[in-house]
Amino acid sequence: MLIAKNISYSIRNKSILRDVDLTLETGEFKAIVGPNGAGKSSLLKIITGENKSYKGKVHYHGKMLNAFKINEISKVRAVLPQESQVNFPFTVSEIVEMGRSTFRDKKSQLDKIVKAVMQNTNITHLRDRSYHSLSGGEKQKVQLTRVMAQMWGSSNLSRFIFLDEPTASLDMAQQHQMMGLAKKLSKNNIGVLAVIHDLNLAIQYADNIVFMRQGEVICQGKVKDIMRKENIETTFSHEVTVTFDQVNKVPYVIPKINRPEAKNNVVRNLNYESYEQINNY
Amino acid sequence: MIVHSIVKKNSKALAIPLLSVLLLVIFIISLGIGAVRISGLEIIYLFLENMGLVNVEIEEVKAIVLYDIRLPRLFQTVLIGAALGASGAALQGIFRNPLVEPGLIGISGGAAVGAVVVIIFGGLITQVVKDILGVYILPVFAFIGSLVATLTVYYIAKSVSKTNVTLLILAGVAIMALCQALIGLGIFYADDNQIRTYNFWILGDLSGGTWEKIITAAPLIILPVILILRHNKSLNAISIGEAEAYHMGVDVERVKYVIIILSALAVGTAVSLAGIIAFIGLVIPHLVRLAFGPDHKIVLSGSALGGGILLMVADMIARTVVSPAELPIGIITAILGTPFFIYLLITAKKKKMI
Repeated sequence: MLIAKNISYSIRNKSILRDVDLTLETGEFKAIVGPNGAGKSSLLKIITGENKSYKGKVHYHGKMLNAFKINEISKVRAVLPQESQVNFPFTVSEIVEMGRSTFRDKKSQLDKIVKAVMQNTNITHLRDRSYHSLSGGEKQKVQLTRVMAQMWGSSNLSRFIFLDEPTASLDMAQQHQMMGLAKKLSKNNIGVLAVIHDLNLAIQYADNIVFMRQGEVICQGKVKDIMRKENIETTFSHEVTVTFDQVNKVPYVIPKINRPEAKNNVVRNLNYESYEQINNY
Repeated sequence: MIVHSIVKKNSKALAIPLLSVLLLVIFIISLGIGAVRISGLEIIYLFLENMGLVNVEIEEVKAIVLYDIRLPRLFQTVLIGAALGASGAALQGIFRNPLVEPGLIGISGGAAVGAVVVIIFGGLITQVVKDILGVYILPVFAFIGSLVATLTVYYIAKSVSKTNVTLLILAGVAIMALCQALIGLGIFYADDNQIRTYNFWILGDLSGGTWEKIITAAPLIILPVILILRHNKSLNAISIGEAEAYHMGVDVERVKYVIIILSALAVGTAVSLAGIIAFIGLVIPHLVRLAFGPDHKIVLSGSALGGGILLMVADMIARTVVSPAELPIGIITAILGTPFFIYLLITAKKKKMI
């Protein structure tokens, strides 16, 4: 289990995080949501060990984060950043292999792991392609595969994966593929913590959600307990309606449209027409 | 696609054997070329004769040229090329930028200043230091000089989270200019017997190779180069990003310092032997990547071998175009390297890397 307690962090007297508490269990998929500047990424940087100048305590299964060596902690947690700039034209399998950089795998073992993770994320056909030639969605999937390679195999330690806006630059189908893979990871007894911008994606895949705003946690808990109009509106300062998605059987958040009074009747009529069509259907 | 990938895969496996053979071939060709031509057959006979296997009539002068001039010169050339190639590849790796090379970030310039200081102010260095360092005094001071210069450049370019490459290159240009001025100043004040020419240090000169110097320098180049090769996995991880490498368990800051120190030692020693030879460290890693892909397992050792090969070829040109005179090696490497560097700048501009 991962426990972060009383995390505070400031840059030049500007407070970024204030007394944030957060836990993550193995097998749990937790999403952090909140507006830009809420401190979501800063929190992630602290929990993953990347940022060390914070106040408070972070424990991984009872051991303080700063007691871990860099290559020790890499066996306990892996991180998928928002976007990775790869400078040289590596092939996809070479990138995936890098997930095992600090492991002492034998060649045959390494090949087996790379093959297995690539099958898992369904990118085997991209194996020999140059990373630079891939689309944004494919790149992100390759990076996730690399991150999974790092957490692959059996281990007696509980393990965690952190995803920083994994769906930011992806189209709809890719977003759901990505979230599906993340969900699958959590089912394999890995704790998954993801910063997600799209509230509905968070609802559809996460077990628990943390609302953050201005460096503080507004509230956190199970999706069904916490996805309430007032929580969302306080966090995002925007009016919403929470309904129920009958198809997927999960809550669905509809933001209020912020549209200047339409002056063009033609467009308006067109819209009414299509609404009616939908209703009649 | 499939054929291409098979070729690519095989080329990766063949890289090192291929380059090793090429190095050997160029070495043997190089042995015969120069003011005194020695044919391949004669070289073989001379070696066999030396081992006491055959007895042939070959002019005495050829044996002297081969053993006392060409062989040490070529060993020296290969060592220097390997130092420049491997360091260039590793530095491009840690700075995540293909424009970096030992000459550009002050390693070579600092080393030359260190060497010039020892030669000119040798009289002021206390006997104790001289006794401890012995024959290593020149490479050690070159190492210190290059370390000071490089760390200065590195600290100027370093920001909170990563290295700013534009700053790195600009700081390198400034430090290099200062180093050239200091070398010039040193030579201006030195009496002629003490020190070699300004051209020796700035343009490089491979003609001074002797067995004695090589025996001193070899371990100071071979050891750091081997240690650099061992960092291939870390350098691969760093190519995805510093934060990413850190998350994968690589101590990025430590790797950077280790690579800088090892490069300073290898290149510092190389400079103390033959002055500043630019562009080898820039061009070679690119060619190796182009031929065999960017995996540092191949790029590092391939650049060490490739550096030796290219420098031998450049040296052959330098020895033959104005024969019996000799062009400074730096002129050849600059003529070959500058267009390449400009091409890289344009590519980097297109990719918005600078």
